[in-house]
Amino acid sequence: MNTQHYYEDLKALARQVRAEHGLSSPRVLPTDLMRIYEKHGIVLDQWPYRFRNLRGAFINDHLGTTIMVAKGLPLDPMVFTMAHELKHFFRDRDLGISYCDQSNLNKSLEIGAEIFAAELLFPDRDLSVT
Amino acid sequence: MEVLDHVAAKIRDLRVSYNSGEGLSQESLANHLGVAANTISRWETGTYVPSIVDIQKISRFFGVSINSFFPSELVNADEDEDLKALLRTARNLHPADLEELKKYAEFRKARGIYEGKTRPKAGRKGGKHK
Repeated sequence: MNTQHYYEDLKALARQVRAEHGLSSPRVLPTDLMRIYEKHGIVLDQWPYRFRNLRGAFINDHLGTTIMVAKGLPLDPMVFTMAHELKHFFRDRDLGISYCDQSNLNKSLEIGAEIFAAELLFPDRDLSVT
Repeated sequence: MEVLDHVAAKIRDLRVSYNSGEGLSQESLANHLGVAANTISRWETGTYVPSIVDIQKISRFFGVSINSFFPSELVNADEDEDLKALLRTARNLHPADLEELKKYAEFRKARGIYEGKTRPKAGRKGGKHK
């Protein structure tokens, strides 16, 4: 699968997740994402200590599947990070750990996670000019 | 020694040996942690069971790893290798973020150990989870 197809596949996945979980408006709240996490058995940890650049991390190992989000994030970056990490659950869970900060955002897996999150929260369809 | 006894003894040891053996009163530790003064006494005697979040706070206050609250046989070498492997993936993080992510990963592992020991009878020994 080439890069363009990979990104299109992730956008399709995001639209599928929206449909399956009844997300019908661009206003997605943390509680919406928590509901999706719960359905898939993902534990959410809002880590109360300070990170410099890290926004979130995804870990999948013998202890289970956990998404950590830096607690100090403002609401919108927090929701985006939760959506971003959800992509790692659907597509990258065999990698064990993924983290999200400014140093790795140019990697295709991370770009893919940003594209997935953007489509999950703000679908192209809703933003297109008719 | 049972895990909960180990935790209780560790809290007392850290408090008594604080500041090169000068020690710290239960009231002072309670103030630092934001809990009631008699809670420290109850943790140290095993009357109350601290939550894993409480243990995390205590470990950070005393500057020790959360792993030190658990018997070494439970923090086994194989799983330490898993932790190292996870963190190798994140070696490009800012050093401060890498250190914080390590603390989070240790917390997550400690929770896995601790919840298995406290879930059936959380809180007071045999009582409510604190």
